[in-house]
Amino acid sequence: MRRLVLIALVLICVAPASAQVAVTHPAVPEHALHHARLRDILLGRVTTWDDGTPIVIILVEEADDAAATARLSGRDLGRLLRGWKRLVYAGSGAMPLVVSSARDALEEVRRRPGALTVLALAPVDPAEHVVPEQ
Amino acid sequence: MESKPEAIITRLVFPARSIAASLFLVLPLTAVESGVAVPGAAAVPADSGTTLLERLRLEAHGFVSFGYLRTWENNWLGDDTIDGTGEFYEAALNAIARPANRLRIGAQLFTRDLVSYDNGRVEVDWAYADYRVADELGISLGRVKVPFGLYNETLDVDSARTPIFLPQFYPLRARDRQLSVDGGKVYGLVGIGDLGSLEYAVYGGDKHYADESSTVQQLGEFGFGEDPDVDTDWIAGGVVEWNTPLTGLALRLSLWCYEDFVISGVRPGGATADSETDSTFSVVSAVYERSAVTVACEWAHLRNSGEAVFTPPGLTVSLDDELDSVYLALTWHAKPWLDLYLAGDITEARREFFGDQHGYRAVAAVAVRPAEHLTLKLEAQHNDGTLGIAAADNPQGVAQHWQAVALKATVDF
Repeated sequence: MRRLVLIALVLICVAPASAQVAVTHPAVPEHALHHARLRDILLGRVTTWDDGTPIVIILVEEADDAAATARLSGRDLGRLLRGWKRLVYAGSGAMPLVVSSARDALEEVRRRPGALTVLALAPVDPAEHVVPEQ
Repeated sequence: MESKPEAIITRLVFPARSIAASLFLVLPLTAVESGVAVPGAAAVPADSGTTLLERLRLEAHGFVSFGYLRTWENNWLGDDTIDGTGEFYEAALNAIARPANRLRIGAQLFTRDLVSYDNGRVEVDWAYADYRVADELGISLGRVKVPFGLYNETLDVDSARTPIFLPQFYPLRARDRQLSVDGGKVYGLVGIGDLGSLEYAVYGGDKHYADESSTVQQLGEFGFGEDPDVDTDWIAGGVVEWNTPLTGLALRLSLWCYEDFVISGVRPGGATADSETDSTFSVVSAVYERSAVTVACEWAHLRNSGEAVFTPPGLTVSLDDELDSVYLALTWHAKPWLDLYLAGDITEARREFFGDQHGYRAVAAVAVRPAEHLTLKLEAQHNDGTLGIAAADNPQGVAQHWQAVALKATVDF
C-alpha cells in the first residue's frame, strides 16, 4: 500500500514531465508493461497481446498525451503515424486510431478489445469509476 | 459487492535528469518491472456492441500521388523528361482483416506510371495470410513483400518519407524485380535484455514476371529484344535488425539471392539472346532517429555471375558484374508539417561486357504536410555519371552531368 501511495505521489509531483500511463481494454491479459515492450508496440514491432488478441493502438492528439506518446516511442505523433503508414502499405500492420482527447481515447479503449492508449495522466474524471487498491 | 477492475492502468516512468526526480521515479519503474504495477484501475466498462466490420477488424487504406518530373541534359526514365512530364503517378488500395486472433489477411493493388514504365498497369502488390504465433515468430504465406535494406518494403509509400526518389540501389524502373516473392516469410522479434532487441525475417519463393512488367521492359532495353521471357528458379533472403540499447539507433543486415535468373529474347533482326545468372545482393544499414533528426546510411553490394549467348553469331559474353553503392541521408523534421532532406549517394557498377558506369548524386528535398493526409514534395538532384541513363532515350548524346527536379502531391487515407 505504501508503495502505491508513492506511485500516486509520482503522478502528482513529477507528471506530466516524465510519467505516462498506458490504459488497456479490460480483457488485455498483460497487467504490466515494460517501457521497452510498450515502445515496440507503438513502433509496430509487436502487434498482438500474449493471448493473440490484436493490439489496437489509440493515439491522442492532445498536446500532453501526444508528448507522453513521443517520450515512449521516440517519435512525435506525425512521424509515428508515417512509420505506421510504412507498415500498413507494406502489409505489416493495421493503422492506429487517432482521437482528439483523452476522453475519446478512453471511450475507444472501452469499445475495442485489445485496445491500448497512452495518456499523460491517469484518468481522474469522476465518471470513470476508479477502483481503490484492495 | 466488490468492484472488479475492468481496465488496467500501467504506469511507466523514465529516468529523469535530476537526482531528486530519479528518486521518485525508481519506485514505479521497479514496480513495473516486477509486474505489480496495477496500482488502481479505472473501471471503464467494456462495450460489447461492436459492428461486423469491427469484429472482422477490417480496414482499407490507399493513396494516390501525382507528380511532375523535369530533367536537364539527359532524359531519364523515358525520352521526354527534358521537356518535363506529368507521366508520374502512383496509386494503391489495400484491405486488411483480422478475423481471428493472431491471424491477419490482406491484399493490395498497385498501379503507377513512371514516365515510360508500367503506364498504369495494375498489379497485385501483396496478398497474404499471416499468423503471429508469438512476438518471436510470425508466418506469412502468399505474395509477401521482401524486407531488404531500410526501404524496399516501402518503395511506393511516398507519403511516409521525405525524398521522392530512393537511393540509387533501390529498384526504380524494375520495381517488381525484388519487391515481393510468391512463397513465404518467417519473422519475429526477440528481446536480448539490456542489449535491446533483434528483429529477423527469412523469406523464399518464386517470382513470375509478366510480359508487360517493368522488369521485362528494362531487360528488353538492355539488349534482350522486345518482351523477353524472364524466369527464375527461386528467390530467397533474409534480414536481421538490431534495435540497439541506444534509443533510436538500429542496425540492419539484408541479403537477397536468386538462382538461375533466365532471360530469353529475340533481338531485332532475329538473333536470339539467352542469359542465365545467379545474384547475391547484400546491404548493411544504419538508421538513427533522435529528436528532430533522422540519419540513415546504407552500403549495398550486388554480385551477378553468369553469361549471355547471342546467336548468331554465337557470341558468349560474361555477365560477371558487381555494383557498390553507399549513401548518407539526413532528414530534419523542422516542424510537424515540414521535413528537410539532404543526401549524397555514390554508386559504381563494374561490368565486363557493358562497361563500367557510375552515378554520383546529391539530393535536396522538402516535404510539406499542410493536412494530415496530404503531402507535397519538391526534390532536386545533381548527378555526375550515366548510370541509369538509357542511350536510346537520349539520341542527342548522353551527358556526364545532369540534373532533375521532381514535384509530387500525395493524398492517403
